[in-house]
Amino acid sequence: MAQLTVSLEDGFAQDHVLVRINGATAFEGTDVTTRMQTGLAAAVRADAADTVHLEVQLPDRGLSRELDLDGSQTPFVRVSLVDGDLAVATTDQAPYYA
Amino acid sequence: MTAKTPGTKTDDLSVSGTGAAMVPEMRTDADVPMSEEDLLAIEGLGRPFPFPFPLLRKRSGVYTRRLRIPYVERFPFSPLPVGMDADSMEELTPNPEGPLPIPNLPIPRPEIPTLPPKIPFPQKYRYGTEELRVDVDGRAPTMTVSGIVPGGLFVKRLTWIARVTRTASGSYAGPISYRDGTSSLLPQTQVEVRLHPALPISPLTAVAKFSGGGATTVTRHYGFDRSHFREVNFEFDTTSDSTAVTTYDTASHPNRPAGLPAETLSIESGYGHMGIKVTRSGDSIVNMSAAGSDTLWSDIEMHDAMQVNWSKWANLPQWALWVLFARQHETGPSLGGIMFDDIGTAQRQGTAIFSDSFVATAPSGDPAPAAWVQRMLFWTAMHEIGHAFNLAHSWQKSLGTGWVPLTDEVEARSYMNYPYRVAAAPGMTPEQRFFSNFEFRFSDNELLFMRHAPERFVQHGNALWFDDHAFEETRMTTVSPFELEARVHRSSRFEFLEPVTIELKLKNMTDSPMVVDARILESDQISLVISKKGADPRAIRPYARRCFQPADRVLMPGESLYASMFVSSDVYGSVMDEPGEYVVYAFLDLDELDVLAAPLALRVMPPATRQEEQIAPDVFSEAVGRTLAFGGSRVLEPANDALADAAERLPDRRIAVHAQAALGTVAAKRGKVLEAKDSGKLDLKMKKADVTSALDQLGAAYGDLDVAAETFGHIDVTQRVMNYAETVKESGDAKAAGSIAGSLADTLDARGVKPSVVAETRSKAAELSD
Repeated sequence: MAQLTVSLEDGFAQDHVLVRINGATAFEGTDVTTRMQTGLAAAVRADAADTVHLEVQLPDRGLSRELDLDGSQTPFVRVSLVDGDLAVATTDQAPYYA
Repeated sequence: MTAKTPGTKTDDLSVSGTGAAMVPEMRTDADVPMSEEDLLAIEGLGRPFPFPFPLLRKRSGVYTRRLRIPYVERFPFSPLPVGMDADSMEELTPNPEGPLPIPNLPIPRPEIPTLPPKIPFPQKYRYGTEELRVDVDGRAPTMTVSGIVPGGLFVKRLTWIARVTRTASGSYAGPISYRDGTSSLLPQTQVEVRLHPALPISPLTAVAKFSGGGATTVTRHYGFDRSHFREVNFEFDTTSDSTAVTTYDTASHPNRPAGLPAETLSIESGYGHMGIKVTRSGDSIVNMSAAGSDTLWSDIEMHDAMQVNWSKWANLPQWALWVLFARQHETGPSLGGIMFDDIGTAQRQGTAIFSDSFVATAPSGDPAPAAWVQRMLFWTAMHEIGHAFNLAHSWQKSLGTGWVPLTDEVEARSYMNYPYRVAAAPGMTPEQRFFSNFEFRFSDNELLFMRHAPERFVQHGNALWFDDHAFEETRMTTVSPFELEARVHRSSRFEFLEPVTIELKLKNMTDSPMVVDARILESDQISLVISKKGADPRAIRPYARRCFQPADRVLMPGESLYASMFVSSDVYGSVMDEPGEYVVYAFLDLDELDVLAAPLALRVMPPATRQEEQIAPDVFSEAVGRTLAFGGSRVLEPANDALADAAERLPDRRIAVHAQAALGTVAAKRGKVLEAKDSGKLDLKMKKADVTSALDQLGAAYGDLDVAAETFGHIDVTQRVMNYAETVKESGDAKAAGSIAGSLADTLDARGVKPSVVAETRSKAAELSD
């Protein structure tokens, strides 16, 4: 069992965001906004099986991204809104903010 | 890819100019004076340098020249004159023409003693400093010259910036590419700066030539003032469960640029290298024992702690900030630090660094884990403080409201970049690659901002976080032991024709007794400017200037001094004779300090009836204005006729209250008048009182004390009604006199006037009844 961390980082401004892990809603926020001094809007942590199907949705913007990942290899997912689209990156390095 | 920028390599020839030996001040008025505005550079200073001196010396820094600025500007504010001979001098005399034109009155003038066309009020001056900021050598120069030209209280100062290159002749020249403020203060578009001397055997000076833009070329001389561009106070507090890390040995970790100087950097020296001088104050320990198991910090808790623990806390812009070294934020270990102060009006004053976070764990296999941790803690502190200077992350520069159009610097080797966000390299993680060529600095654009951007964008507590707003700017940046307030105890809406009286309050804001002159609010140290929306501001020139024998008044902490001021008209006529919105600006000249009140917004309503429109020309006459300002007149018969007419035709309007008060006041007592004989001689006569008429008029004026209090203000109505009560007593009716005074006390009490004033009024009422 891996702990998955999904970090909603740059570009969010009072957005409605839905994060689903293996079909279950892990996070839903209606006022997700990036704090510019950290570059982080919200961090979602959830226990997940090694095989993870991740969905990130912004229903009000009509944006959605799905991906499959191995939570034991890349347990960190960084999500940003860039030029009006979702940019998603997976990594084995824990992101940090300051 | 290595993000090399000019100046990143240590310049062996550059030495910061921090001297100790003093040389005589250079008082050369070698500057171009300014016509019309009485501006004159009166100082050009050289700065001491150490002896024996180095062969070559850094000449970057701030150069200044002093200016003399009219205290109350003429409007429209004229641009600085150009084209004067560089050697010509302007005498330091007041402008005999007087600062204000007579307004073009829309009504015929009544027959009254003619005023001279312009009255030579003595002009008052205050001193300002023009800055020339030269950033061409030393550590990390940005090849920039910028300047700050002071304006006035109602003319926003100008910040200008030029990117320069060194010319073949050794000067630095370039176009002025950025302006913030009143551009007409410096209309030229090109600047060329020559620094003197070539060798450091004399005090440093700078000569700047401004040209282009269709304006005449001008040359200005400045004296060296200081080598740093900003000076900021840092206060570090540490929680008892954490450790403050404020230094880093740059040679302690093997992953570093080859040419990085070995030194023990402190937060102070780290910012000092960037041209920001840091002073420290009041470090203390925050005891966590009372927190129990809840040792995590929320933003609100940190903001509260800042207000309690920071010795310099003030909800004001100031060059000071607070740093809290704590254990961990409530969001968890992924947050190494935060500039938490993004709430309220004065933001960016507080930062926090968390020791029990990602910064405390070096990556597996790191060759110097302890140094890695120290480096990350130091980097975090410098990074968070950078946010307090309003710096965004390197990859966010294009977001929000930039002070200039900015591009993201995703590969920047800057304190403001996250080490793990840069691109990796073969055999190197992003973080390893970052620190392999990170020289413990900010980027050139960030240095440009911190050193040269308009002060309010950079200063802590000033421009809001991530946001890049002359009178308000000055007021908000002036820290004063006093608070001046201009106010009315009523709705801000005044009837058409209703005279306007405001109240001034000067409060001691310190914890210590302060001494002021007892009548300072009635002296010419108080100035008022009224601005009607859409029109130029206008300084109020009272009908009379009073010179009082100095008398000290001690204001205890929190105690205030009060005065009222009639603002409807002045020597140049009616001020508020048209419907619309007005703003009253009040400021007090306390020699070395200007105390500015928050602007007071008022509104004059449109005429309610046709009759108000018809009598307006008579009511807004100069004679009526004088009569109302002085509380009545025994000789200005046209004014008295106009007031009587107003009282008869508009008995329910506030102008009637003022009219009856003015007529009744002079009728109540006998008074001296000068009569001009045909022979040209003046004869002093004593005009008799008409007590019956007075009591009728005053009884009508003050019949409704609540209305009287509202239209005259509390200070004036108290004095007026007590005088009325005295008149009633002198007429033989002590009981009625006491009743009038007692009713006044009840009215003041109901309106929330200070209990001491109410009590004093009741006491006088009792005396009157005897």
